[in-house]
Amino acid sequence: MKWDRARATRERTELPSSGRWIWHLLYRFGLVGVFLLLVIVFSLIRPGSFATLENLRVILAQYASLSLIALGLMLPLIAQRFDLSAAYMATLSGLVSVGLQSYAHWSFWAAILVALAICGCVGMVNGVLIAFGKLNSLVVTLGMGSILFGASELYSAGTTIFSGIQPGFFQIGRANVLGVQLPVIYAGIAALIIWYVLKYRPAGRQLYAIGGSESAARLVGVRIERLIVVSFVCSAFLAGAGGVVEAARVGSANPTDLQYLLLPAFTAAFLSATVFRPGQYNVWGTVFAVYLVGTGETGMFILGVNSFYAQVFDGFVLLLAIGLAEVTRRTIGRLE
Amino acid sequence: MGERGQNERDMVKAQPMPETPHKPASPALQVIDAYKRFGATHALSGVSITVTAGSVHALLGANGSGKSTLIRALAGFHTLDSGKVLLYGAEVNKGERLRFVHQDLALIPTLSVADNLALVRGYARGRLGSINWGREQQVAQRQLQQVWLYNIDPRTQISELSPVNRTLVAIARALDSIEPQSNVLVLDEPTARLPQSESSRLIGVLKELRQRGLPILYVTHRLDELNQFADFVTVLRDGHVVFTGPWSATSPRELQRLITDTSGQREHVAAISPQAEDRNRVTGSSEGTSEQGPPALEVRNVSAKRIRNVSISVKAGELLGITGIVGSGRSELGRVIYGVQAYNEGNIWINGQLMPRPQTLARFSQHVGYVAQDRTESLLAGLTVEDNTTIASLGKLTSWYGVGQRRLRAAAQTAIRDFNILPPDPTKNVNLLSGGNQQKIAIARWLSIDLSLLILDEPTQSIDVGTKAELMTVIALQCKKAGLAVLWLESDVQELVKYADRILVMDAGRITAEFTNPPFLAQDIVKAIFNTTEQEG
Repeated sequence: MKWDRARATRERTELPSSGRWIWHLLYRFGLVGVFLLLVIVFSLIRPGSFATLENLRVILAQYASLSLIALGLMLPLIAQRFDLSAAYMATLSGLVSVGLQSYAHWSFWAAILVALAICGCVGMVNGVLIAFGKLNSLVVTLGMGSILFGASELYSAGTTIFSGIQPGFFQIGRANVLGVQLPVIYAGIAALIIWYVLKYRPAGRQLYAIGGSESAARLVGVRIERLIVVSFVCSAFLAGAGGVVEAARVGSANPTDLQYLLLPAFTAAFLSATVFRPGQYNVWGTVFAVYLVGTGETGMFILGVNSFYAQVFDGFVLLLAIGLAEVTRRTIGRLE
Repeated sequence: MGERGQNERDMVKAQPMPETPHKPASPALQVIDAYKRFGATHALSGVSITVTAGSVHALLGANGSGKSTLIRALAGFHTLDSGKVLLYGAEVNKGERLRFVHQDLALIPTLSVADNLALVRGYARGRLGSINWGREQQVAQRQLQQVWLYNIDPRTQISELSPVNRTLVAIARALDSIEPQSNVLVLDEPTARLPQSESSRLIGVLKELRQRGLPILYVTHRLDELNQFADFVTVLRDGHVVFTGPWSATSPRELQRLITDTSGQREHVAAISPQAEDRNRVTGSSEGTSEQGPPALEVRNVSAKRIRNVSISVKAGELLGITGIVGSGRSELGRVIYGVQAYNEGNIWINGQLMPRPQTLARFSQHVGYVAQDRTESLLAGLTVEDNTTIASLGKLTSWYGVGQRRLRAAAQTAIRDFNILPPDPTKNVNLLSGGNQQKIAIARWLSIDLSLLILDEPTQSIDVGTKAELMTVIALQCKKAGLAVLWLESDVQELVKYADRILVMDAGRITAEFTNPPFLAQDIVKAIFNTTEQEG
């Protein structure tokens, strides 16, 4: 058809020709390249301790809880809302699950249930204040985070809880299934479920719609407030699960360790928008970014580098990834 | 919302509309005595409109006449202070039966076409209720075909589509499962972003819908479209209905008079007629002031993403118009010249100075101004009229102690007066102004500083007849008075011939025709545009 300018549109969705192909590859998988680079470098420097199966299993299990937290806060993030209380939620949840066993001698199932129930309530409060109260998410979750932190300190009296924990609880965090540790399986299941909902359920699509244009989403009848509340409940719930898993894995809980996970969790979520589906936060990107960070940190640990460099590393990876994503995006834009 | 439970897990068909026998006209949509006030502004005063089944009812009015308020009230964003809205005799609640295509389309830019369509229609579901993307593709494609979009991949992200195609997608979305007997389609300026070649496509689709009995309420500025198309027309002015009746009972001239004939606010605008003699009166001698020195703009052999080997030049004081069908590369050319888009070959001189390349730094410092096609790119949303009109001239208004508040206010007032911006309140949030007034502001800010070149990309879209004339007159005057060179990218050929000194035709990234001797005949230009396309086959 003479008027077929839509041809141009169609062309864009087909694979680009020759040289541009490289840039498109870089655009979608650049982060994978960075990851491989790290693995290779560390393997070469410490083949004996880094490049082992045991190390792989350790890394997988160690960062499972970070995966859960990152996946959780990715959900409100898709809708352009920030959950800054996630790390403190994980902290309190871990403490409650352990504390109820240690102080009150509850069965660990009941303890876990109560911990997660608290998370649900906190998420609900966050969600209602932000969605219906129309309050700024940064401010609300910051405040809530403070409350959770204070509650954690009070509940544990500032100490580490490690006695009186039932063996069944340790099993939850340390048992193997076919050689794969349970925390990894939990994270995997969570990732699969979230991926499924975001891709194959209208609710997931509607969440992206809210993030894309809230006014347009409202006009087409998306129940914005409800979805935002749900996203915050899920975020709190997943953060809580992360806290419980971590407590089960290490066998104790304290009010301060997990709070440092907030930044890496957000780093992972932001990084997800630079890989696989650039421009959109996505599940596998988040998981991948978590393990990118985990690999780097573990590698440095094995090298004996001061652990504070881990923070530097996290920031560095973030800048690198964002920069790479932008450069490739612009180059592609120029070439087309 | 968005889930049609009654459809089985298999199918959500994009239902084609049933044929209906021709019925005697019955009122489909009735607005009875609507009143709406915003503070001291009476947006609607006793407005009554009746849209009959199977007809196209045009709603006309200048900016600020109440059109947008009425549409927004129908859509449920405002509640009327008093008055009723009846749909087929029954009172309307937040209607799904009123289908809207708003001015800003309300599409989600980061999602695909398929997602956008499915959010309203309901996703095609498969096993366990999960979305069946394969079927979703098919359904979406069928929906797109209804608006003659045969070659758009539903997976395309909205942000990658041209404004034309975005509008058509928005219409396809509104047409989903439409039932001519119990729905009304309301379109708010759908062709504002479409060049005339594409709008005839749209009108064809709408005519087909009318034939099936669907009532259509059609808000527009383009009187010429209505000739082929409108059955009834209502004109609003200052919140009142000044005319309502069949199209045959009036004429474009008459309507123009009704729309623009105000109670004294626009006396200083002469009725500009498109005759050649009058044209010269407005723009000075047809020779123009011949300038010594380098041309304001010189472009040689420039190639970019959608531009192939283009060479143009614009003298100081010259109003150069460039037209062509959509996708011809006009907008790209404008952006490349202004410096916000990169180009790979060729050279650009501004006032004789060679521009370094590649450079994506807006050429503001070279005294070049730019008004984008998309209004949202020009406006500082959320800021006041004053902020928006003075943003480009802050340098001029600054003294040693900073920006002088009084000078700022005075500059804003001048702009408001010169361009007749309504409401004339410099502290008003620019979001609250009508589209046409927003456009005036986007242009006004440039004309208050000393420019050598101004690039205008579709400046008169979604502006009513009277305002169009005002704006272009002011711009044309500035050309002659201040020696401003203007590069005017425009799809409305009728407007071009009235004001341009020279006209170029672009097609597929190349300059294919040039018209140098005014007065121009619109037919010649239109023929040139279409001729090239036909050769292309």
